[in-house]
Amino acid sequence: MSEAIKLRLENIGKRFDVAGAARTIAVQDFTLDVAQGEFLVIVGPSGCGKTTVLNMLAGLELPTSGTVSLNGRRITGPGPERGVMFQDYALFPWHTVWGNVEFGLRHGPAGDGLDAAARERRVRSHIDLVGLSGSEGKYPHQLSGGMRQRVALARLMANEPAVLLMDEPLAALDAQTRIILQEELLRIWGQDRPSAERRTVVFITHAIDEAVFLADRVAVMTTHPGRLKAVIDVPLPRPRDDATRAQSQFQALSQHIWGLIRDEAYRATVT
Amino acid sequence: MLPLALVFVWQTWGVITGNPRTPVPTRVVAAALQLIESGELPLAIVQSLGRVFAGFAIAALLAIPLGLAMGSFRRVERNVDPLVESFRPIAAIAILPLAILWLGTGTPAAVLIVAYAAFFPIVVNTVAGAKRISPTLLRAAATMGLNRFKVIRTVVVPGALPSIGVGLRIAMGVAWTAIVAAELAVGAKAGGGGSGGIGQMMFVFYAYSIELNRIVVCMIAVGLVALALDRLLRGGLRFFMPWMAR
Amino acid sequence: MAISSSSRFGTVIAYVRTMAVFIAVWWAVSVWTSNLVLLPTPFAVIEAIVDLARDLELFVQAGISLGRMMISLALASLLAIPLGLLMGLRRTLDDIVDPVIELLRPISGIAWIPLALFIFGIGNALPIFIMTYAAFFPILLGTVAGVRGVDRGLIDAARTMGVPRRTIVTRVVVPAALPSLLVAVRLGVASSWTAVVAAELIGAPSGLGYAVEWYRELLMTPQVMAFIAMIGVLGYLTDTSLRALAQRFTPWAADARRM
Repeated sequence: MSEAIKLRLENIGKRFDVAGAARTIAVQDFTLDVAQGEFLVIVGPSGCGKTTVLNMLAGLELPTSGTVSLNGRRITGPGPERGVMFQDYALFPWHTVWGNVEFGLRHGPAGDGLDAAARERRVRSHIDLVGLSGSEGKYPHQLSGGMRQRVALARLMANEPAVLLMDEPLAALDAQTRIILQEELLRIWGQDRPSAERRTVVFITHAIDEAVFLADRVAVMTTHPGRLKAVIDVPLPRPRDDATRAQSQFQALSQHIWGLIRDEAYRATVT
Repeated sequence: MLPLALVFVWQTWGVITGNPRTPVPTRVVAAALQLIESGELPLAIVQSLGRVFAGFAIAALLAIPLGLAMGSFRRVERNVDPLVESFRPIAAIAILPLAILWLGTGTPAAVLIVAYAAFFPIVVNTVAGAKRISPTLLRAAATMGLNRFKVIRTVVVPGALPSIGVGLRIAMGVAWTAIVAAELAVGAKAGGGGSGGIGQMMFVFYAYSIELNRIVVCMIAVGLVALALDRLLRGGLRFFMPWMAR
Repeated sequence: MAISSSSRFGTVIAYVRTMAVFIAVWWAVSVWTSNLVLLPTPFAVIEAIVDLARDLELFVQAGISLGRMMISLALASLLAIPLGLLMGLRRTLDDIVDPVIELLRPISGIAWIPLALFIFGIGNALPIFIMTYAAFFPILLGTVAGVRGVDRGLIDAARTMGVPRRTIVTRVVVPAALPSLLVAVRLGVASSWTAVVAAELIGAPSGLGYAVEWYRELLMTPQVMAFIAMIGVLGYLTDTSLRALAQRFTPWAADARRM
């Protein structure tokens, strides 16, 4: 392996103890490495513990067994080198678009060593990057879902974290907006740059086509308890665009992953 | 339409059935002009407002920090909440006799009553606001590397602001009611004279001269001031919270 | 279940601890000032409570105040709930009545006391009038808001099933508005309980408010505090029982109950 290992999950387990009730095992025996610059997508039916895995990478939850580490250093809490994008956007309603993108630079360690002018340039360039120039002064409640998600993306990127953790960031959007934002996301991530310059991404979704379109590798999870069922390479060439979706290999990979989880997905709809 | 019709009915009914001192709209208006011209009514309102603002400010300065601490730290809430919940059901007017006992029948007692009345709505709403902040916003701030106290300053405080605003508005209404009650009661129990204010003025009109038209003027003034205070506060809050939809 | 009972136990401990600290501080300050009129010791107040309870005075006055509150609440509900239902259902009625309501509402019940003193004199009628007035507005506004807040979809669903209009009101609108109506009643009770003290303090020859003022004039501070405590306890108990009642009748309304 030429690429350095970036994130490492070793025999991760997560139990939730609910007093009086049976303890729930959310995640069990989960082992996975994510390489520098890799776009890894975790896919699985609802309730499979994929969000729990992401939260453990973010340091928002700690595993009850096993270790999570970044570049060999154990993760014990949230940190600015691991940025998170949340499903419900998590925009601060009292800040404008500008204020939201600026938040981490202004109040968090990501802005250390930046003077006001440099900070402003950084915010400016990231608002431009996601195509929101002209909407800087708007509040979140004045924006559409797609625009909100763009703000969340700009805020994430402006902090320049080494690892991007994305928890179903496109799930709340309509189908068209989703397709557009998937491509945007790949552009901003840097799919047309050499892989050494890309950031490491862990992306959660329940949509299989989204997973195949975005990923270098897809990790498939199953439920009760949440386990890693398979890791599938997606050798589709980059940059990817609409034509990618029409390729027979894209279809075949989607079919294959669906085959791995359909029984469980069905069971989830009736229990 | 209906208010005008009612005023008309009140006027005719009062003129036909009552004596020359029965309050009817025309006499009330005359009394109002008289009281404004002589400066009595404006002075009384200013006196009452001064007490309300003093008590309200004291209450807000104590209640907002306390509420934020209770809403942010479970341990603080656990230990302080019993006191808040024990005293909250006691109506502010009920402690008036104690306030008179401790502070006499002047302004300090009235301010204490106002502060007591305004304190609880502000605390309760601040706590609720701080606790109702979406956990993802707190998580988002944590993933950007902010420590606990910075999160409180940058997320909890602005996030709780709308709810604090609601508390302030309720508290202002309660405070104004309390000052009228306190002044009335002081007037009734300390035998007129003394401390002034709109409530006291009403009592004097009742007890010493039975001028019903003037009492009605005072009642309308109480209502108008209540309305004006609420509008003012609402406008101010909207100015400070431009992100609130409408 | 284990979690909730253990945390409830913790809450009880915290309550006892906090109140113990409060009473200790009170005791220390009262010993330091050593002025029985200004600040009696906690024990003097407890003694006063026991004495007043023993010769039933505490309960008699409480019963009088509670009785007045019940009557006012019944009157206010009888007036406000039907009116609120009609206003919520009929836009035109709302347009006519609402301006009057909005004119009267800012005038607090307490501001009516001098005029009411003149009309009713000192007695039962004055506090009942003031309390009914104080309870009326929250109940009316809550009822209107409750009816307005009923999900249009529920009404449409009933209509597509051919349910007649009157049945829609009794079987859809009223149950759907019930949680917010019960919250409104609670607010009305709280507001009238505040008014009772003021009204009795000034214009009634009996009741808790009267008793507080009576003992103040006699400079019997422990008794004053005993009656103040009774006002708080009864205010708390009425609110708790209304909450329990609301839970009983509208078990589906989790949100309204927390308010």
